[in-house]
Amino acid sequence: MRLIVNGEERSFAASATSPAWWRRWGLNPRKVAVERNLEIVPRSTYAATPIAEGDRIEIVHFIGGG
Amino acid sequence: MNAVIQPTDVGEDTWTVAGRTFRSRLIIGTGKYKDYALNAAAAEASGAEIVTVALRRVNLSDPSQPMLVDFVRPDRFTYLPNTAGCFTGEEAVRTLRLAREAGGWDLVKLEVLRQHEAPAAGHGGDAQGAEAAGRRGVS
Repeated sequence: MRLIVNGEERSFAASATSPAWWRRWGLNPRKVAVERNLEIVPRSTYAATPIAEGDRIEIVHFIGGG
Repeated sequence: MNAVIQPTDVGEDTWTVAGRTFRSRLIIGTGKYKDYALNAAAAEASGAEIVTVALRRVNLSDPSQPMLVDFVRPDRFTYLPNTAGCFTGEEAVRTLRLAREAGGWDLVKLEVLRQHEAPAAGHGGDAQGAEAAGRRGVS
């Protein structure tokens, strides 16, 4: 399965049907926000959110600057 | 006539915005510091309770890099997310919704940049952004 994550195409095992797709990079879900196909994925639903071929995922966090 | 301000009066002087009450009126930035530790020390020393912050994509090639929230702690400072880097109102709103989900506030620092390619098109980005933001419950 191919996803566009933060603008880059990445492959995932086809079995990666939902949970933990953000954990792949060791990210702490409490420190990031996730958008799937331009829709916010609420933190409480990360584990239950299905992903599909071609989904566009954005993972962002706060940085200094402002 | 007897308008002598006692130190205790100053200490109790507060202001409230978007449901939160603050004692300091200072809002400081988080850019251009050598590192987040220095940033946190400066924020602490300033007495500010609000810091402006930006939102960026996580660097997935190096997710172990220092994170702002580990230094300028959100339980100590209220994060005021900005939309620097956005060129349209819609883009700003999208950024702000992500910022809110990431632990930001309903209040934002709205900035919409003029596109360099179309200098004659006028600005209006901030106004469009404010309108779009208002429709979605951020102020």
